[in-house]
Amino acid sequence: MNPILECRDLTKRYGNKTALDQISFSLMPGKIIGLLGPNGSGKTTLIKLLNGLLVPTEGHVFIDGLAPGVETKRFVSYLPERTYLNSWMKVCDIIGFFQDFYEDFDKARAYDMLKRLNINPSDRLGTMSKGTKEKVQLILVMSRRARLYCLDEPIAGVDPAARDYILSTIIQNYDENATILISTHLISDVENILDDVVFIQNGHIRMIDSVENIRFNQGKSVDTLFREVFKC
Amino acid sequence: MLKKLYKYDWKSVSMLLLILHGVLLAYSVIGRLAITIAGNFAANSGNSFDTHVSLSTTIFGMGAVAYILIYVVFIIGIVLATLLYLAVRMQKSLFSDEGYLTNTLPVSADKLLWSKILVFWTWSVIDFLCVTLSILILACYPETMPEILDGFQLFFASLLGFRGFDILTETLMTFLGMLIQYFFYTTSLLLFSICLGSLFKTHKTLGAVVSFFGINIGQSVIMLTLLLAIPPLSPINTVVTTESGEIISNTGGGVVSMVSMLILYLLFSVVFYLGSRYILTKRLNLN
Amino acid sequence: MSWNLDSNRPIYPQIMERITMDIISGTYPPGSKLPSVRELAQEAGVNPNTMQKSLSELERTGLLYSQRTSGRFITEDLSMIEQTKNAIASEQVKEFLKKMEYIGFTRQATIQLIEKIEKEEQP
Repeated sequence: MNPILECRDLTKRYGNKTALDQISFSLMPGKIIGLLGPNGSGKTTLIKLLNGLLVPTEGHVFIDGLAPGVETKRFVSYLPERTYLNSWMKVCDIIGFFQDFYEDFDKARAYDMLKRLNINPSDRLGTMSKGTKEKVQLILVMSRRARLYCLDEPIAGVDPAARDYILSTIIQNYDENATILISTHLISDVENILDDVVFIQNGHIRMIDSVENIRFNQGKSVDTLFREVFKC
Repeated sequence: MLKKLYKYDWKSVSMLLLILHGVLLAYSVIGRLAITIAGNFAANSGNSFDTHVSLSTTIFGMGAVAYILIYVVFIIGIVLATLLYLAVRMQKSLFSDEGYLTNTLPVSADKLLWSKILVFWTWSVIDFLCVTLSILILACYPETMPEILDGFQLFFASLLGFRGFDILTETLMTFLGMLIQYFFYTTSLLLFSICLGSLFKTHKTLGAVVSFFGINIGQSVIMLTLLLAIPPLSPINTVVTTESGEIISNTGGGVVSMVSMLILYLLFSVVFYLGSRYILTKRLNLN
Repeated sequence: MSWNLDSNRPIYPQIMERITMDIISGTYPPGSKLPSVRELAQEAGVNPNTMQKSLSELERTGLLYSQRTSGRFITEDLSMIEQTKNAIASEQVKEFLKKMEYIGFTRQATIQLIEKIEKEEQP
């Protein structure tokens, strides 16, 4: 089995500020992985590099053996930490858009989730609250049958009830062969659904381990461990 | 995929532009009606010159002045606004938050760029046609028709070679030159400036504007130097009368000069396009 | 979430305990079909892979069995369920006795206390 994601000496600098410093690691497919780190640790930079929105300063990143490009974008589903929705569109328009461009998009799934979250498909995106827009975006991203999902802070902007729904949506739509990479700093909310965690700090990987191992070996939750590792 | 991209790019700009151009045409039609009414009014009042009529002609006159002023501003405004709006939309779609979606679509940079170019071309043509139509609405009268038709006739006659080869090539070159300069040079420069602007850490829009005018000035300097430095390209006719009374004229300008200009413009366009593609694929940095 | 898992302990043994409890208490009757991994994972708010692991472990103990096409079922072996129930019951009692000991009750005193409460509660 080939790694779904591999970084080799991956470095990203913005001017003279180093966001990622010679990171090397690989992740096997079929898992839900938490990318955990304090603010400004390089989580978003890493995810953007995977999606080709940033170009590495040095080193390489491979998704299923390929450098980010048209080919990888076909099977990587990306939820950015901001909303990219065009305000002139209606919800049904953006669903049509995803349907048009992504072969793995499942329209029925999207409409089903909209219904359960009480979002009207004929509503205009421009008139929606930030939280609702985030939900629409998550629905779009999770309605794809992708092989790698990159979710950047999927639960940061929504209320606890919606948070539960979002996590259960992720579990429900999760297919055993797919990989989900979730970046977040709200660890206690997500740690039960994670297989593995990647701790990242100041552009370095601090630790990669499975949640069960951490709990078994340390006798404490990932959240507690995180607070100890990143104690200010 | 290009078709789908074009569809969405078209939809994202067209709402506002359609309204804007609709208003221009409506404004022209209103003007036309007003002129007709004023004409009838003046005709009916005949020679009986009373104060009411003179007052109303004054009001019509003032109205007409205001109308024409607004019209001129409108025409200039709509052309500029269309260009500006299209440029802003391109920039937003590629490099603002929307870019997070645009740049993660499974389509090549070529298709992304061509979709923008095609929408830009389509709207430029529509814009041109609307402005022409608007002018015709206001300017076509039985008295003016012959002159307008004459103008068209002259243009097409030159273009089809009815007025001799020299005039044909000259008209053709001028016409082609304008088309190439706008549709290739200006369009690709616009895209390239937007892409260059995205490389700026902050003030990406300002960066794009500076790039646009900077490159334009640079290009003018290069062209001018080339034209002056290479005599056959010089547009200036030098006529030298030798002592023996012979006249040596350098008519290097004309066709050679124009063709080389066109080639240079095309060359610049290709460079700008490739530059834009390079930035989108190899230098993308969405912050 | 709804399963109140202890975040300081590994998840899969907790899930095993929880499902075992549901079997011996009769929430899942013998021979009945267990919900799918996905449904259970969603209900528990845990990773489907973890749920899968717990169920496989329970299969190994014999409390669950799987039929290739139709899913997982609770064992029909009533004696086995009874055994498990007894084992857990004794464990609970031992735990309880330990705690009582800790607060200073001898076994004898504990049993007396139980009998006393039993009498009081009877009408």
